[in-house]
Amino acid sequence: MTILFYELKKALYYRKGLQALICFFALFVTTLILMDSPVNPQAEYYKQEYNHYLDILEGVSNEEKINFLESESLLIAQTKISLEKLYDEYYNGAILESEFNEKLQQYQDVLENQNGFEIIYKQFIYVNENVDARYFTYVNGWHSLLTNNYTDYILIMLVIILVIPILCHEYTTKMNNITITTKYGSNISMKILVSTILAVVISSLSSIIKYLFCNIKYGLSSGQFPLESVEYFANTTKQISLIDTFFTLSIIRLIGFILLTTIILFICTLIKKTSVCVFLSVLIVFLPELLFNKNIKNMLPLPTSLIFNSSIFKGEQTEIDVLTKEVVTIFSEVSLVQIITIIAGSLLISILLLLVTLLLNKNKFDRKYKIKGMKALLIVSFICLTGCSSGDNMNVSYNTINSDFVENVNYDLRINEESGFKPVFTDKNSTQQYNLMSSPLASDIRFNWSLYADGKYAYYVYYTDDKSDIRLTETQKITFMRVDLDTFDEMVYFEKNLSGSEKWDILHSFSSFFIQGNNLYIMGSAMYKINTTVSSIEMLDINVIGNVAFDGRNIFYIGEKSNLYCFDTVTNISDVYNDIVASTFCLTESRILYANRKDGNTLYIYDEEKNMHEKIFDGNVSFFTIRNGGVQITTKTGYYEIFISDLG
Amino acid sequence: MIRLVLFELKKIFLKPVFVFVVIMLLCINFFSIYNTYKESTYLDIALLNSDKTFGDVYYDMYSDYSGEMTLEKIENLLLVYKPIQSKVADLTASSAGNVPNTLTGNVWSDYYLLNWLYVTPMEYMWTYQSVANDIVVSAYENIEFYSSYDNDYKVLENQKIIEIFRGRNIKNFEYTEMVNEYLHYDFSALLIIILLILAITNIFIYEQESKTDTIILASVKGGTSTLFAKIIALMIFITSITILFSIFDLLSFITIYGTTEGLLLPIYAIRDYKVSFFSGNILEYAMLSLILKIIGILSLMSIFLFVALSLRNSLSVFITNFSVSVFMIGVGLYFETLTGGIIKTINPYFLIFNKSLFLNCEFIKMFGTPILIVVAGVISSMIIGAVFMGLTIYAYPKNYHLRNGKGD
Repeated sequence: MTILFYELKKALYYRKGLQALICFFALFVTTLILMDSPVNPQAEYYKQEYNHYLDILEGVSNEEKINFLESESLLIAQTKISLEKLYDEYYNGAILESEFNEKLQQYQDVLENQNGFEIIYKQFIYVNENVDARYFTYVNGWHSLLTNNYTDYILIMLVIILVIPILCHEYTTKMNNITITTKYGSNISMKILVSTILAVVISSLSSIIKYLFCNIKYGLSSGQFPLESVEYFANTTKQISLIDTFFTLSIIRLIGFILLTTIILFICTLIKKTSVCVFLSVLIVFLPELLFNKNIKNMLPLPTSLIFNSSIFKGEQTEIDVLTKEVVTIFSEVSLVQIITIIAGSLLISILLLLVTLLLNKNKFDRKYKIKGMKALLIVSFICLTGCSSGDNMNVSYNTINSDFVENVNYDLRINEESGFKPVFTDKNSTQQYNLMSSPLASDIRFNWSLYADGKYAYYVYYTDDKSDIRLTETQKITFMRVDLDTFDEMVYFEKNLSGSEKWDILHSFSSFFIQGNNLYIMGSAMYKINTTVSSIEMLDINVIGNVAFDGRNIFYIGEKSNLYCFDTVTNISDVYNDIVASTFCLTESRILYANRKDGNTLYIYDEEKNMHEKIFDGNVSFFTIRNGGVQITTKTGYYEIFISDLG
Repeated sequence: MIRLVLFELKKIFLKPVFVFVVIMLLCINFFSIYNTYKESTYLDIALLNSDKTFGDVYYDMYSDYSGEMTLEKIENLLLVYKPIQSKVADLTASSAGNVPNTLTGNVWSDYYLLNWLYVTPMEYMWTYQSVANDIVVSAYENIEFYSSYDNDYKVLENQKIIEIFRGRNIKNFEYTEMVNEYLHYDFSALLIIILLILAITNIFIYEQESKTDTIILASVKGGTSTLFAKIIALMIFITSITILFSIFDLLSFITIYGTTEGLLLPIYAIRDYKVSFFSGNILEYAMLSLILKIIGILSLMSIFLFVALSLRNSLSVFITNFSVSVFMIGVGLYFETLTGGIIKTINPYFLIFNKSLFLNCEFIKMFGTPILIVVAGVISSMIIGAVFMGLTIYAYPKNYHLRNGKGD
């Protein structure tokens, strides 16, 4: 026992193992916090609304729940139509305000959680494919807990760092020869025990931390539900609950760590050189990752296949081959027998290696060892992320209804349908048209049909497709390009890889965008704000119903009750224009044009300085834009163009 | 001095552990190339109800269409291809095997064989001249446009693009699967880095850990001469390893695919390298790539050396160098497909794993002139290498004892 404690003290205290342990666990937690992103981000954005439905539906799907979902779906669709009608009636003066308010409240109560409904309906489609094995539950937490393994690389490094010196340092300093004469010198079992204890502690501690993390971040309720409830494990044949899966995987992971430890100890005994031992241990961990695919790895008793074990419980995955039209298995499920074989094989290998290690080590002697104080090492990393400093507030008036067209006194920019939807630039002085994207080398790209310009810079967006595989084309990346409108220098404003990451799904399709310094605003299914310096996404807490405009600082949008709202991006406060009720609107530099719902969708102009509303067109406007200083109006009966002397 | 270098080289090359590791890594490399072949080739696909493969049928037709592309050959190919294409056009063709009057026994596999291996690549090669021409034309237009806005830098950049792309065309049609995979293969670079890390710990750390370095310092050739000998030995070692792996890569690809076809095609004959800045053929690419790899690995070596001599403990040296490599590779992988600019210039990753540099023709603005990323990368790698090497030599203990003895 004394020897055990002494070995522990040596590993943790004298060799500063405890410090390494704390450092690596701090790194582990930081990585977890920074890298973990939910599998279904929408469910996080609309957590409250989603939970409203989950509370009703949680658990096994049955006739009652299906009926509830169907009726709710119908109700929401109908309410949306009724709400539209209600507004029309009210603004046309067909109903009184009290009646309107009463009905409005009633409708809004129904629609309160509609975003959550969309998410739960998608889940319902998945659940309905196999009602017995798939339950309604909150999946983000379980998915994160059971499938995200990347942080384990840190722990593997920690094990290598802690375990190797336990044997190797004695060899390096040739102390093992001296120990022959001592009483306990021939017994290294305590060293092996210490190594195993360290591996067990690291493995279980990390499992606990991960559980707590997921529990705090997402919540891990209803662990008794079957595993297949999480979509990652679709088609699995294993009848096991979520919480049991977690325990089983933790135990398999623990065995993986023990196997790793015994392999390291064995290598140490054979090679006896610290650097080569570290090198070989790292090779054993990383080479299988690089060389084998998941199917082969799951068949081998390797430490990594036991540590990165989420695919062990995964169900079969198939794909239809384009050539032969046959079903091809991409991932074949690991059967229970195989799992047991691998575990038994690993344990057997561990025991064998330990026995050999014990036999090869006859004499050991303990010596106080102190790592030399590390010299401070300064490696300056010049790597910095692209970003741009926030400019002064430009005098901008950007409208999403005009998102394919931006103009100013000197130029106009548009998406040109005739030249294959390319962004083009027209100089108003010379009336010559140029492609905004000048690079002659661009290939395999598609433009997003929206533009933004703030006077000094113009921005356009394109997707690059990966066509290297003849059989399928994948969107590889999205690029927001910035063009200086004086010199026409081009610069990448923001660029992201889109393949293989769920985080940037919102960028796959969006209707318009605008930019303020380092912040990129994306109008997709909701309004998102992306900080381009730190690459973070935030969903703005505003409920956009109609179109949006931006003046360089404030976001104008049509929100609840068709009122016009103004959201200040600096203070994050929304303000309502009570006297503007519009179906669409358009912002110019000093005025707001809007189709007034209170007056049969006729076109009004509002001057904010004078606080004056003025009707400029009498007719039911369904759509209008501002082009070349004139207002182009589309009504149900025709197309009009009017010029206003002072649009501002 | 030469004897010192030779002695240090002997210490690295003749260690059984080292020889074993190099042979093991070569085997792993071969296995990995074989894996690439298995995963990527179409020639290996077996035909329905037959023991032949796509490859057999492909090579039966190969002599008719390969070599210099002529209108006649293309018309002949289309004569075969068009009827098959129209048969599968409505997606109702049978997928049964052993159908008479087909090339492969089935109309669908006929279609895919011709489409993937003949029509699509040949169409690309035949039309490449006009692609390059379009680039030149739009670069001329750009020069005119930027001249009117006084943007001298962009004018220069477009002039360079014209220089690079003018007169590009592809004359011959050849089998390209092998060269395509060869161009994309860079696993061996990772193995070289691993060997570099091991060699550094071998050359410096053992002496430090066993305190031999203090004793050596007292000898006549101790101190700076020993250090120089070690550095030169290390450079020779890592350069020869890089050359060894590069030759091994090429030979393995040739052996595994069983062909040397395509090696003399210009690099832009491979679709992904459509807008590559490099206009030479694949063998020339292999040479240039090797030189870049050596420059990159030497600059990385000097960073690793600096780490090794600052930390002086094999475990921490290994972990630090390993983390530096992982960080460098991580950043490199992330930016591989993105527009890198400064990051592609200063990260040695892009010189060592240099396939992504050849994929496009990116310029960086330096002193108002456009410079190809690859040139800028070489310059910055040399600077980084020189700085860290200087720091290492400066920090290494000098043979003061001897100097004082000489009466300096």
